[in-house]
Amino acid sequence: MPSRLEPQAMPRRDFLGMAGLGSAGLAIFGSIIGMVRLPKPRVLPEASGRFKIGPPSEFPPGTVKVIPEHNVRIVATERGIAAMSLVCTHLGCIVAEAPDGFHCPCHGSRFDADGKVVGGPAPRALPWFPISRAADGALVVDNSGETPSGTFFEV
Amino acid sequence: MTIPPINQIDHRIKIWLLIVSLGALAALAAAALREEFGSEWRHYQRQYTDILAAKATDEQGRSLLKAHEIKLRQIVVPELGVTDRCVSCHLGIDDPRMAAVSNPFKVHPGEYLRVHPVERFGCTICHRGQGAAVVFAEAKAEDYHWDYPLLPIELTQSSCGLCHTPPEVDGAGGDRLASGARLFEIKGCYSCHKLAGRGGSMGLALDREGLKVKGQMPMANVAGPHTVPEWLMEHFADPQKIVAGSQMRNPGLSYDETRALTTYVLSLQERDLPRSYISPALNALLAERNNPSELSGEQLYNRFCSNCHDRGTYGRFDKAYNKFMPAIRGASLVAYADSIFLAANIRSGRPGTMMPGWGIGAGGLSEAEIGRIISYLKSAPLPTDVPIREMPASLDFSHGNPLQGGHTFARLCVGCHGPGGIGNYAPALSNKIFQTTADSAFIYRTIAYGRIDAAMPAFRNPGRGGLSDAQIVDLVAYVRSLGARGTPRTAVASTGNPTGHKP
Repeated sequence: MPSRLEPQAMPRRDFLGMAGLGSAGLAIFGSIIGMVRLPKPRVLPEASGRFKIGPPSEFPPGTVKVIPEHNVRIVATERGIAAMSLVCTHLGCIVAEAPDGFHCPCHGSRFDADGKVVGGPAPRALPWFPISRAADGALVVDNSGETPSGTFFEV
Repeated sequence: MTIPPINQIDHRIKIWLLIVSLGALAALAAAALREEFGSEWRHYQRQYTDILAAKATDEQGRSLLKAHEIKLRQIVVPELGVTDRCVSCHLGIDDPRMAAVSNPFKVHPGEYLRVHPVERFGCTICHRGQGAAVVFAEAKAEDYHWDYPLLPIELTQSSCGLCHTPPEVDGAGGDRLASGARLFEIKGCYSCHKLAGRGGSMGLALDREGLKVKGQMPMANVAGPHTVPEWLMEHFADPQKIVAGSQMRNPGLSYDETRALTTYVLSLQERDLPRSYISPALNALLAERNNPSELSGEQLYNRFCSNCHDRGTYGRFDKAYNKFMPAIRGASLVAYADSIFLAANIRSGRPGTMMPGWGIGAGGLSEAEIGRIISYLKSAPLPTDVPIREMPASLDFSHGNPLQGGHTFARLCVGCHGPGGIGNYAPALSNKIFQTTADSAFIYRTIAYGRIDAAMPAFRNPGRGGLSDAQIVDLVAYVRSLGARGTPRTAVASTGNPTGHKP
């Protein structure tokens, strides 16, 4: 029986013990990763922000169309088609069109024609939404995303 | 106790630790692999990538291929309570290029999706099934405890009825629903079944029949899959096979008609959907229910009366119900019965017979509608060669002898009208409605001259008893004595022997 005070020789080759400990550590680590991921579902039952607005032929250059169900204003120009939100970034009222842009009826925020804030309490410009094309050719607006203002989707 | 250094732990414990943790690692790896390669929807989305790549011949095709990523897809419509992940595998439903590929990638047939954008309606609102499932068997949910499994494709038109009236979709993708609604009318289903409070009372009201789940149906005798649509199909083909002792008449439908009627009955749901989804025509129909539109007497007759009385111009023996059905548009009844009698019988029915009440509190018909039905009854073209007999002026019904009449009744009438007139094959005479509304002249003429084209013979004729006027007056007095306060005690004591004396 060696004394406790004597330095012990390092175990030269305890392969079995190291492998056992290592794999146990890996298994615990993997399980923890799994458990951490568990509360985050792959997909949540939330309504998607994507909606179709019709084929491009319904939006010849010069068209302006408001889609009331989604509070989105579609503008078609020679450069392409763009979608802008009509929901005030302050407290969510629906902005009204005015000669110089958009006015919010609730607290007087003012936006210019591109949705940039020119006055009032609104913290941010009105967001522009990305537009894409669905397989059947219809234009799709995705109001869960955002594109820089002034982005036009070229048909 | 201190943990000894690792090289001093028992060998056996190290071996066990290694085995157990390698096992756990293997299980983790297997789960990851199964999720990545074993799931149905990933498999189909990979296949769809290849299809998209093969079809990416133009700018649009290439951008669709680029946008395609492998992920769970779903359509959520909170207004309808829909969460449908069907689009995780049915990837090409809105891509017209996918007409020739095999399912589940095919484009949705017909114009349905153009009119009903899938992001506003989802899939299960029309097709039923378990929308949140991402495995085909679970999505169909036929063998699961799921209330509304996937509808067979040929019955899907029933869902048009959630938002549309059947005539509205006729020729616009809902032909089968429309023809089912016509069959419901033509086959006289209203005679026994109520919709919106209007109809007969022998069968169930069917307002929400399409919402029934399989646990509410007796499935024991259903040969096919135990689902509600299959129950309806087999039940319409042979009601008594599915429900032993069912009183329902076999509607005599072809296979196509059976599917149409099943489609219509499945459409009866009265779902509480948002108003914005309901078509104007259905909204109008729902609003009209308290104030039904004007149907002609003939339409009312066909809807509510014809199932039992058929054309009504002849009496017939119904084998299923074991009853003579009176010829309510027959020459004699129309000539001898007055409108008060007819209206009372329609309004309150004839207790003791199969005739239910049709008044506002029972079958839901208004007095005006009953009036129109009576006008229709009286409008039947009468045969010109039939003599309509007037009453002999000299008869006095106040001196009839009910005891003598009772003997005659026992001899000639009891076979069909039952002891004490309680009704057998022929209508009951002892009930209050008949007793309070039929006048003696009507009873006299019916006995004396019979009902033309119906089972009731003319008892004045020598071959049918040759009753004299005096005998008939006695018989009328006996019939009059039945009923008003129930069957007379004397008639109960001995059937057909109203005096109670032993013969």
